[in-house]
Amino acid sequence: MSSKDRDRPIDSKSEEAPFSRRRFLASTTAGVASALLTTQATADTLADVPPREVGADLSGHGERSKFVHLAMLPEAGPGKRNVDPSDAINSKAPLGKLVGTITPTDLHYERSHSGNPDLDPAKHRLLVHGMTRKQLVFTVDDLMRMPSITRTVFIECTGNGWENWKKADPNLTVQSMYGLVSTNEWTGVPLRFLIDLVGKDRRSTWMLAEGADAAGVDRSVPLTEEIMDEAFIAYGQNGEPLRPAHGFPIRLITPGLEGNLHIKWLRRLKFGDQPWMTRWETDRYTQLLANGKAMQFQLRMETNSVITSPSGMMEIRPGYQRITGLAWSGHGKISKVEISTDEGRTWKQAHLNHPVLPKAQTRFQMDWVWDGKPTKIISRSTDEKGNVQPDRKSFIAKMGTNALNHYHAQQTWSIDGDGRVRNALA
Amino acid sequence: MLSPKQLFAGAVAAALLVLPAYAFDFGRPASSDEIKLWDFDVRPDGKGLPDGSGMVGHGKEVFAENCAACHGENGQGGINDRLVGGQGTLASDKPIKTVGSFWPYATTLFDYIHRAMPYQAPGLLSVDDYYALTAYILSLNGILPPDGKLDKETLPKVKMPNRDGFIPDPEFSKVPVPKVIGIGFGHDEPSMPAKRRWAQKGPALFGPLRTAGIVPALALSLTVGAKAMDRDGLITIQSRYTPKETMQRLETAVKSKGMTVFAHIDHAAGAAEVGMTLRPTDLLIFGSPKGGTPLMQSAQTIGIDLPLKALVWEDAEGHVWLSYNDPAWVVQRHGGAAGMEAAVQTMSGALKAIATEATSAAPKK
Repeated sequence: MSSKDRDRPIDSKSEEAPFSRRRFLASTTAGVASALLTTQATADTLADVPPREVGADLSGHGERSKFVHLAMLPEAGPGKRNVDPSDAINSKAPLGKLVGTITPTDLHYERSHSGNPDLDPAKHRLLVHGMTRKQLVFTVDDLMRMPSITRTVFIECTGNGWENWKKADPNLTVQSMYGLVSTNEWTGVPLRFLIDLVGKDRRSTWMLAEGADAAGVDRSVPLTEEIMDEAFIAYGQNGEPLRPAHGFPIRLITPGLEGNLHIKWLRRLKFGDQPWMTRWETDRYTQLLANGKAMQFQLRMETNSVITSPSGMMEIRPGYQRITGLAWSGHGKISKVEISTDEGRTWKQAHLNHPVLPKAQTRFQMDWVWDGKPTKIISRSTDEKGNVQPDRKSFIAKMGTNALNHYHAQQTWSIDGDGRVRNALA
Repeated sequence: MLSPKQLFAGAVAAALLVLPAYAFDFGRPASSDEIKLWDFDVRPDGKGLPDGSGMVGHGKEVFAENCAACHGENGQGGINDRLVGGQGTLASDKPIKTVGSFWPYATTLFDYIHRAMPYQAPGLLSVDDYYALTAYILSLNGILPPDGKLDKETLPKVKMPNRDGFIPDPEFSKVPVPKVIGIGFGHDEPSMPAKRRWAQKGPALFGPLRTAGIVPALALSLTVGAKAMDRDGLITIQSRYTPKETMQRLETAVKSKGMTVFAHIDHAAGAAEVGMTLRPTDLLIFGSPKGGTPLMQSAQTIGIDLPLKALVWEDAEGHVWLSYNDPAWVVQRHGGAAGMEAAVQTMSGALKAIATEATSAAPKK
């Protein structure tokens, strides 16, 4: 990272006053910091790099460097940020500080409706029943002995982006605004395998998936060919058993669809021939349009992208910049991401980091030389099915401003003459 | 270096070649008693609603005691979700979504509070209390009269004000019933042992992933294979011979057991006659009155599944298979196996010997 050309925050627990790299260094290694504060990049000298020394003892559990500070942002609801985790209804991933595409397991966003239970896998059971020839009970061991798949997919809370429906709070970071999406590698049993084991009646077109959390969160899953081909019951997350916050010991994964459909702490799959109209698919995860009608079963998460750096509350200096961010689509692979650095007048295609996986987040990047004049930067993604991320104006014209869920308009960051990056509507 | 596709195909082929003709089942049957413990979901048509009833008046008391602390004294003004009012606000800039203004089904209210409330102790209250609470919340919204009463008959009939306020996404709201594949009882089970079918389907299923450079771990796990009796009643085993050779060997084996060949139906030839193409699909109908009569004496309708049949067929990848009806399954279809065990066993044994002879005995030099 070129810290001389720009002042990127790498530690910003506080929304209002993010630490810059410089201030951060100043607070930890005074000698180096003073050199940085008084000299230009060319005056840097290797003589200031600390000499080698024997490191700490090896450990049984890898920890982050003491110089790296990463944390989720717990929220109690829209605008109620940085609350005590005991009051939080969701916790957002620090997108602005992550690199690559895999979200570290402990930083994968969380959204739960009655806390995060830690269930004993020996006592947990999965009941599969309803319109099936057999009604079966599986243990976690049963599932782990079945044929498995491993797949990297994003999961996105249906409400991700909810901050920007009506107005743009200029003091928000990309974590606050887009931190309800994460990408992990999940391992588990294909739904098809269970369907075959129980002998689903072909007239069954819906499946109720229910969790063992206190709220018994349940969703009706339409059994389209795509969903039956791709859904799986996961017990593995980034190479280890699921974390409790993500459904330990087992959860449903429905690639590309609403986060709420990925039922955590899964304990029951029931096959039926119509949706159950649970609270979650009527009252909560439906989108109110301007005319007062609500979109229902809008399950697919749309084509989306956001520039994560430079982004809200960061600061840049004139000269060379590396713009980078994440793009994702519930329709499949990202085929291209375009970036405008002149408020949407012209667009350039960004480089996509490989591999570009279907229904997973893709990292994009582009070089840019900032001339120091105020401007706005925007990203726009297109997926392999040809879906283009809409601009905010046409998106709002279609969805109104009351929908609360499924926000996926292009994100604009404004940059003022001092290099301050702020959230803007367009 | 092998591509993922080759690796995958190779693994599947290897697994199929070394598969024994049996495997194990996963899980255990659920008893109806234990299913009842968990099976309490409720649909808009009222399916799943328990016996019991509750009145608005009682609901008011239950609400004050268990709900008002979070939802406010009359279902509004609390620290948590507002339950009352808001009708007519949905198209405004400040829509108020409550049970009364937004929820399309009254059954959803019962289902939700029954499964998830009170927050700290879901399911704590009695079924009658949940009916009463539902009635009270609906009455606060002017949907039920103050003396209203709800039970499993009346609750699904409650028409919510915003019942027609939803536009279902066309992609996910109309799920087509899949076409019937093969013979079965209307279940999603083509005529091949499910695990083997699944194993074969694996590569096709994960095609999109494979091209993305992902090799499903499945490739290493395909050792479950076929088993002696499958739920769709077909026993399928792979043949090491061509379809024609397999059929010839089958006929020879049938005759050597003293059975009669009644018919040989070449479906592929039939297809060719009408200008259509079909991979080799060759049916042999055979049997013996000595074996079949005792079964029909016990359950006469078994006659529709007799004489015996065996199908030789080649799949898309050029593998040759022999499928035949499992006698035990046929007997079950016609009302059970009481008194027929011996006959079934004899028939199964004979078929197994014939099938083995036709598909895998050492080729004669």
